[in-house]
Amino acid sequence: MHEIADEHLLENILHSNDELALHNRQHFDDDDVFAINFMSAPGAGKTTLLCDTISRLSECMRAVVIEGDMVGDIDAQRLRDLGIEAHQISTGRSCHLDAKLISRVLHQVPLKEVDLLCIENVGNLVCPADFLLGEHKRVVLLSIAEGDDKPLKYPVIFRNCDTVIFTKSDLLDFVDFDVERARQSVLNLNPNAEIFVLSVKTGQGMGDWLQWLSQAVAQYKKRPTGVA
Amino acid sequence: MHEATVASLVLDSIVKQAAASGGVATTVCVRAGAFRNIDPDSFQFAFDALKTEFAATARCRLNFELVPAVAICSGCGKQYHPHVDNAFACPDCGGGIGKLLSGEELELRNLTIDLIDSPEVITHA
Repeated sequence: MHEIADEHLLENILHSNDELALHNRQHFDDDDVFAINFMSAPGAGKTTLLCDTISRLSECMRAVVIEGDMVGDIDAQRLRDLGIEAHQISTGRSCHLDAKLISRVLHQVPLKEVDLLCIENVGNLVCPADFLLGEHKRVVLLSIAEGDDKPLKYPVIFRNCDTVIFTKSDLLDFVDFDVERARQSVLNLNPNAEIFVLSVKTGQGMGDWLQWLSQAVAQYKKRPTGVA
Repeated sequence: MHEATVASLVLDSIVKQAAASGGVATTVCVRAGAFRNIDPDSFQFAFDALKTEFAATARCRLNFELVPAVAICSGCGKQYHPHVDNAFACPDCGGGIGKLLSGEELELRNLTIDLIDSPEVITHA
């Protein structure tokens, strides 16, 4: 028996996922599809936001959804009931989507006919932060009911995103949620983050979000060839 | 749960490397940055619970290293240690994390393998 130590080994533990995420990104770019990874705790309103957003934008772009849940297809069915194409991934034991799970389902998605791919991650503010899927933008939702301290308690996901949406703003009259405190905490972690405050229920703030999303998709589609 | 996910990825990698060199792992170092959501005790627990699933890792001892976060302030450009007690803001000017110089590592290092059959030396590019 002979023992050896490889002192030079330095392996990024997420390397294989990151490689596959790049592969997914190439598929999106080849077919001119803007992909967004929506992340939040369970119940923050990801599906509700997607139902409303995609319905409102249906005349100017075609969007499809990849739904990630540990069990069942309740969210996918909600989208399908509105006529929105949704592909379900059941992760089983896993509490997040990863690039391999996305790549497996991509062959079912008609990417060539799609402008926007919305990936709804498993409800979780921890694990999804580490796993790139190939998306162009990462959006994190935080509902007013969850409390304004969540960016400080889950800093990684609020650091590693492009956009933060405070959802269910209609609850601000009933819950002690300090929007400015939450906004400042996000900006301390992520000074370039874009922040929206909205309520799907009342429609408050939806206009700004829809405008941002429409512009993001339009800018992406105008990019020079070969540049994501 | 997150620690279990990362521990599984680490063990999968060790199993592959041990198989490639025809041995069993005895020690490994995992370096995780403070911005990687890894609790050292939970990670140790998950690693020890899951390592027995593979002959190549069953005796592997984990050295866990937590790498502190060091940031460049987006406001004044100074280096600081972002911490929850200060809402991750720069203590000098109140600015935010412009760039993280360290704290996002998630690395596997210094794998030691007992070669069972032959004393071949493994190399990594």
